[in-house]
Amino acid sequence: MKTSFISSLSVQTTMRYAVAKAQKDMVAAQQEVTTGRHADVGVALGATTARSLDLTRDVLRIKSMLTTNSLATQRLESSEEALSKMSDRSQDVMNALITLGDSKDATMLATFQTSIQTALETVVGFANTSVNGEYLFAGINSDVKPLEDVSDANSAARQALDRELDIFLAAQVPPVTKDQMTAAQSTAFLTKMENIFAGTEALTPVPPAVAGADFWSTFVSNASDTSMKSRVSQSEVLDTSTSANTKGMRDFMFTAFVSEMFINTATSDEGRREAAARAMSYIGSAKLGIDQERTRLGLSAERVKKADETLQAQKNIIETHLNDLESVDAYEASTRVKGLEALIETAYTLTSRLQQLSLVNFLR
Amino acid sequence: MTLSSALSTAQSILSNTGVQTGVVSKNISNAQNPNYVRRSAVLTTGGNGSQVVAINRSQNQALQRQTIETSSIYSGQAVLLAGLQEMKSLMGGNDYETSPSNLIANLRNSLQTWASKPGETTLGATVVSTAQDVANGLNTASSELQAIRKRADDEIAQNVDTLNQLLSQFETANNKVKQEVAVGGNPNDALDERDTLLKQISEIVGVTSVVRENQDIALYTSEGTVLFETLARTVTFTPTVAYGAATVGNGVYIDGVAVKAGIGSDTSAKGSLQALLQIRDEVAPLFQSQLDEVARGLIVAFAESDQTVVPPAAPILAPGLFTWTPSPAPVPPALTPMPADGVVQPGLASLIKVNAAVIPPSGRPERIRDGGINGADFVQNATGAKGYSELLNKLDQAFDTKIVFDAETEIGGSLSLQAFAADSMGWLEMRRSTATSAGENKLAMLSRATDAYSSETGVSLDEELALLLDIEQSYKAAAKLMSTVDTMMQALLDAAR
Repeated sequence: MKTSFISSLSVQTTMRYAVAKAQKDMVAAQQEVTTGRHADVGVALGATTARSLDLTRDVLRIKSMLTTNSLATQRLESSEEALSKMSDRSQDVMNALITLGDSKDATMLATFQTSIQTALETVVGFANTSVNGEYLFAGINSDVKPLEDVSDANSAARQALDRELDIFLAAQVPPVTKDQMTAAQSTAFLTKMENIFAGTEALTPVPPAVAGADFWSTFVSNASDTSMKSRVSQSEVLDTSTSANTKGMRDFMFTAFVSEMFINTATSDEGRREAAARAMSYIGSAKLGIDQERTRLGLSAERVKKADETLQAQKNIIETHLNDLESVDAYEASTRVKGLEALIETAYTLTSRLQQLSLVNFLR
Repeated sequence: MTLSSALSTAQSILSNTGVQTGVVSKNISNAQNPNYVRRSAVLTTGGNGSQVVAINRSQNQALQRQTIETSSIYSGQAVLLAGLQEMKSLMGGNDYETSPSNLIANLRNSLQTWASKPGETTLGATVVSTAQDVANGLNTASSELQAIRKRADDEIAQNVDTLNQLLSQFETANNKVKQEVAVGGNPNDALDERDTLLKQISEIVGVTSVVRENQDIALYTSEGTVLFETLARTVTFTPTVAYGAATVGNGVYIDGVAVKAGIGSDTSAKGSLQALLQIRDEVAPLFQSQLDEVARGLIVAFAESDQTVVPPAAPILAPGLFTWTPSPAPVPPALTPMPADGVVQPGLASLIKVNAAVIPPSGRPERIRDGGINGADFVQNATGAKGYSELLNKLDQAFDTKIVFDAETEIGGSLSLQAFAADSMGWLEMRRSTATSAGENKLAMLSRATDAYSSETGVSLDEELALLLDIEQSYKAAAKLMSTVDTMMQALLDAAR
């Protein structure tokens, strides 16, 4: 008959299980203390893992958006800066026109031509600004220089207009030259030129071409009307660039070309007067147009800033939540390590004691 | 009572102590053998002094049954947990680095970066390479998953072999027991052997035993199929050579009855066979179907539409950045078809790939930005403007667009691709978490049952030593008795001289 309630084997195995389990827990607890996260997040969270993954992904996406937003901000700020310079140049042209007034003086006209030339060069220069390899005023044609070199006296644009003028003058009855233009003829041609700039009238066809080319897109601008779009938050897509084709730019170019072609000594007094009046009204609207564009971009920049703030706030909230979800109480974990340490030590001591505690040792 | 009868009693004491010492020493020598059941020599009083009647085995049927039961329960849970762990390790560590969910998030980020600077070709190339990571990730996960199924299949084959072998050994041991009992011999060693075999069998398949006449045992599986009755029943299984997503593995038949797979993460599987069947036929295929749906979601999210179709007509869609090889493969002028809506396309995760039309150097990544992977009719950025970001932004949004995922994946419904991919991880982790805690509980149950059984049937060295002292004492007493009787006899003989 068996009288004892424990076998030698079970004394040993019980202790062995206890030690093995404690050691396993100890490794996990140590890892938790050092990383501050659950040793095995999946086991600790179960189905909530999906949520933790969602949050982690959201944080990553927000981070990446914040980075790309800084790119949009850079583009917007550079564009605004360029537009502000263009606006200043428009003001210069306006001042020059006012200074010139009705004067026929050759020296004053020459000075005026120089200032127009400078303003045009500067504006073309700003319109061709590129940041990070993207042309700011090219719309979505970001790899193409938006404006042709129209400030050059022999540019294709100028030749096209000169040709248009020649055809116009020759078509008059009787044919006239530039210095003989009447006020009515001058008005007619300027109106035609206006339409050509606005793109509503095509250039007179050059044989053998059948249809006349559009002046603006053929000779002046390579930009696209569509502006660059950037996603600035999960739900918001903004225009973050402008184009060289906006009304303000067209008006400025019109003013510059009219001034260069007609406000000089080669033009009749009536013609010059008409041109100056037209230029005066157009430079005003050019400045207005450019400033409007600035305002539009300024608003976009403001939206990006707001979006950044929102994203930052979202990121903080999500990160806090994620932390709640995944992290362990480091203090609790380190107490657990201490406890397990004591447990394992006790188990070792007990094992060695129990091994010694055998009747064999007392039998002689 | 005569002197000679006293002498013969003393003699029988000597022979008894001999037998008892033998039993004790056998007990001591098996003190570390977990499969040994302690013997005890039980004495009964006969006509002339004590007599050894029997050597008893301290068997405890109830505890043994419990040990066997918990051992098969734990073995099933451990196998299932190992399978789930293996599936989890395919998805990376604590951060799920290689999970589709993570790879897709990376793809979306690089897409978003490109959308903010669409003119930069290197960003496009980055998108293509992250897309390749996604496709490769899905391909690898899918093939590894099928490898897990194949390994489970191999293991089933091995288990079936072992089981058949164990059953034939069990038959031998059982016959020996019956024989010994019938002739009134000592069946103890045979019983030990049979119990050991029973324990081993229970790790493979859940088993209940019924003891009958002459200690004969009949074995039934937990489902009630006869495993052993007088003769071992055959367990049959035909292994499958290669596994694909649509492959269905063969069943295991015990005596012609199919073994059912375990159910649930706190599995109902008893023994490794049921758990292996569960991994091969339920868990891995479900996870595969989720991967397939992720792949389908990707193909749908990046699908291109034919721009020449005028709106009231049904749009013509074709796979864009992500495509697949359907069987039969389409003949070149025909477009690759879209996978069917709302249902799992088995094995899609292993077929998905990045369209060759966008992979540099022969392909052009810009086709992702402009459209036109499937030819000129699909181009959306007609002027080829480099700053065109509309399509990229639309693709970026497509990750959040809800599509219908097959309910057969257990996590189906109308979900966004990213949510589905994350839910798939949640599904796996929920199972693994439940299986882990169930594993811990079942291990505790097993070790408790083993402890109890071992305490009841195992050898305690101290007890054996104490018994040895008793035996020594009674031997000494018997020797003293004999010498006393001898002295008395001597005195008698001396007087008679």
